[in-house]
Amino acid sequence: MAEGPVAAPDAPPANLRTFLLAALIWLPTAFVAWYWSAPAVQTGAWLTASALRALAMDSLVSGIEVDGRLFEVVTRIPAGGNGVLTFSVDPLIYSCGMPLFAGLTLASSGNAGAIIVRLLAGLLVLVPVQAFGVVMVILKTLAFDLAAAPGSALAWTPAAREAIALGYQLGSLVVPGVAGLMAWAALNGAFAAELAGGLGGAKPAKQA
Amino acid sequence: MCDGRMCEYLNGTSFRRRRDAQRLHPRLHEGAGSGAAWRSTGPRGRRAAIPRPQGTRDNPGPHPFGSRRHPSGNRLARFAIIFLAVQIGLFALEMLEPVRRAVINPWTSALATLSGWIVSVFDANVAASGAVLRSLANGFAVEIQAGCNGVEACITLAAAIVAFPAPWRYRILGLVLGFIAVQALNLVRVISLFYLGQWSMKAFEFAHLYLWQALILIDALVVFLVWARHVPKAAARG
Repeated sequence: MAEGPVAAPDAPPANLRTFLLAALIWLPTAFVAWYWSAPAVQTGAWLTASALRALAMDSLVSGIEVDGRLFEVVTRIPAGGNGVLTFSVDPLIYSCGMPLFAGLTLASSGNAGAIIVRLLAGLLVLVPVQAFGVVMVILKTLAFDLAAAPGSALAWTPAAREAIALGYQLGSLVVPGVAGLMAWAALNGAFAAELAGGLGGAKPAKQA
Repeated sequence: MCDGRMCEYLNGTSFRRRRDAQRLHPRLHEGAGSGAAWRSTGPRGRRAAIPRPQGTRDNPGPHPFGSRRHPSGNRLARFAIIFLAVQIGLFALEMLEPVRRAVINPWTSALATLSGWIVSVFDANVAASGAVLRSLANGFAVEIQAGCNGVEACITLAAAIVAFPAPWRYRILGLVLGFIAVQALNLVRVISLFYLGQWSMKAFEFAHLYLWQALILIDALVVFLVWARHVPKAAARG
């Protein structure tokens, strides 16, 4: 038998091109899976947002109900007669980092067990990110869109409105996607660093 | 290349256990330092060096947020801290009203104009006004708003480039080329959404709200990885 280097059984993609090709296959798959399993995937965000509502917004919001892919926010602001104002939130917008993370993780190296563990850990980490986006859009709707509604007598200070505006923009424009990328980089650190040429190309110090 | 687990094991165990480890694996130290692993290849027990790829279970490589024993772990932690600080700082800057008036809004309008100009090359029924791109044939229009102008993706890319250990000459080159790459794909996004919306609003909503957000970030990630691989190793260490 010829001697020589033997490929490791779970060899990772050899280079950036291989990784990108694998990502090209896995990302659409992850997007389809994420979109069709949305009602199940966003249960964690609903639970987290509901808990935050009970803790911090109970005087303004009486409940967050699941309506298919949407969350229906029931406020305590009267809307004439016995009704109250409600509005819808699309939680999927705040979880677009999940398929991004899943697609990149599936395209990364590792055996099946390790990948499943990374997937579960990453998706778990991204649940609060989605909940943050949902809570911020609820606060933004209350502080800006419904602030002038009769019965919405809560006084928002200018600083609070600024903080809500910044949090809403962060939670909808930046955090969902970037959190997905960061979760991938954190959970596939060595592989990500290798893809980047060793994080500055510096070789690890040789051990004595 | 150092095997993180093995180094931790050897450095963090008692002398006796360390000696035992060396007895069990006579070439262990050499293997741990050079990135080679050892495997019996025949009945006579001859050993051959097997290059092990990092990032696998057997050889996870330096831990990204590892101890001081792993310089690359420190670099990753440093990268993450600088990345987050620059990302939040630049985003807060973008949100300031004077910056929006002087930079963001004119850029968004310019993007719509450029999109309109590109589309008009093959479609005469398109007009751009301010940040709005309108079809003269059916009245469908899209307005480019914050989040659709590619600025956030550019900020993310800029934060990653600034956080990466590289000479400023390379960083500036990366920032310029990265900005062009992200904005080029963003033009594709705007134009594709403009036509997608005329075909199906459902497809438009899906692509606009979910798909393109991720694609633009992947573009930024790819640009960053390609750029990082071109940073000279010696320069990065310096």
